[in-house]
Amino acid sequence: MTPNEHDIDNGKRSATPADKVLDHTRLQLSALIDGALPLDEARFLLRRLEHDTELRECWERWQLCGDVLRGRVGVYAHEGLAAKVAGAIAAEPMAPLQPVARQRWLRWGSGAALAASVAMIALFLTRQSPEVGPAAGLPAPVASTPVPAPAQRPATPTAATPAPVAPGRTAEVASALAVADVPRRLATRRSRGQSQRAALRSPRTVVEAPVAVAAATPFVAPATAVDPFSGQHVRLPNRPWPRALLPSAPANGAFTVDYGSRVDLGARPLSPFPPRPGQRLPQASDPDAPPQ
Amino acid sequence: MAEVESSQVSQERELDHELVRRVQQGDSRAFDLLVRKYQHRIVGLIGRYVADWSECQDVAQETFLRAYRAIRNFRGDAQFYTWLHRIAVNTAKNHLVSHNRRPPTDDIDIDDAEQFASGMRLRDNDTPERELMRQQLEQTVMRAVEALPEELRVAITLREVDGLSYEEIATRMDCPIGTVRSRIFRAREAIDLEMRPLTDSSDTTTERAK
Repeated sequence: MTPNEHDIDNGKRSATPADKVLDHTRLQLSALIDGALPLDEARFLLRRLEHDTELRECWERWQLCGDVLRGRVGVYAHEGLAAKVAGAIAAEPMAPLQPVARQRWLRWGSGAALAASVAMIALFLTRQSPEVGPAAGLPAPVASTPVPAPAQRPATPTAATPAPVAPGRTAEVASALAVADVPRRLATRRSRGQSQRAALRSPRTVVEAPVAVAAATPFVAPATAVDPFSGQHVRLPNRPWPRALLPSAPANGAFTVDYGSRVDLGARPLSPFPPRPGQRLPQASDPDAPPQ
Repeated sequence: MAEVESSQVSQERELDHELVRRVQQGDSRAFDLLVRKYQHRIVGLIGRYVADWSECQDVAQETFLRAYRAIRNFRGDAQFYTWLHRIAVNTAKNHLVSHNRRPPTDDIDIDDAEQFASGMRLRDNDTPERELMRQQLEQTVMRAVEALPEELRVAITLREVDGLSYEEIATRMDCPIGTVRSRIFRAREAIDLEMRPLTDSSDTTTERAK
């Protein structure tokens, strides 16, 4: 190490504090060019570079020095090129720039807002279903065809008979169906809204639907509950369930979603019209079956 | 070697992207730093397409203006110089077409454009004074490097020519990183001291060359 370099490394080269500050700034500039300056210091120095002409020229000369050493400079640019570009930029009217990161954030944010709104709509529609009475009986999940009223004829234990489902499991299935049903609901939300408005305008349709629903709903013995005020057992009225939201849709349609009941029926599946023992049920393929 | 190059590229990339972010936030002075950094390389690249030196400067200016107008679309996926290189090539081709000259069919690769011999075509058409100025600059820098103390010369060569990081240079020279930083800075100061008279007088020289 030469004596001169020893003095340089120990910071004894600068005589005055101002020189020391200048040396420190230029030392930082050298590190900045090499990408070895910490981020905070780099930002501070870049801001200073924008206002310090001498430091900016030093930046340019050191960049040129590096290009010459790397053999990158085949042609030396005009000295006033940077000044010309700066003047042209200053004279050029330009719309205010927006940071790209912010645009990207807005793009993602709008997507997230859309997803959140869809989730809120799904939640709202799920919670909008009618209240469930305590004696609402076992849920009748999904019958493929609407049952014609009056439903006095004994039913056969076919596919239309509701299958026994555990109450807890039923609630899970109902929730899953409600979530899976959201896209279809969104797609048909407009037409549904129109149908609902039409239903409100037409009282006849409104009346017909509960009748059909009540007829289609399996009969359940009325249950009792304890009145919290009197402490006596009171009978709870039956309410048809599931209730159709739309007058045109049957209550036990294929897309009806219901919730489980908390009434314990002793793990016995509900069968409102059990076949009588010994009775021969008419079969569709039975040639002896009487004509209807 | 590939790691060294990638390290250098990532450091340059971070610095450029920080400047680009400032420009995108409306700070046009940060763009001046980018212009001062890349103007010589861009002029050298345009010199492969446009033979006349004065036209070269005009096309380079137009290139930077186009880059400034379009910088809001720069998303940082590529290096800034790669993006600028493409704008310069397109601007040079448009310039030739607008002057009823046929642009070259093959584009110049970004690596080829950075080689010293890339300006040969323009150098053949250059005036003797500008050629002399360029040679003086190169000789001055080389002479200044050779005159440096051994430690400073090795440090600046490992950094600028070989592209090593400060940590790698410290390992190679078996000294602290702070010493490496100081040696490179002192080397640049010494070279700059020799370069300054040339760059200060270049304005008058180039004006006379016109």
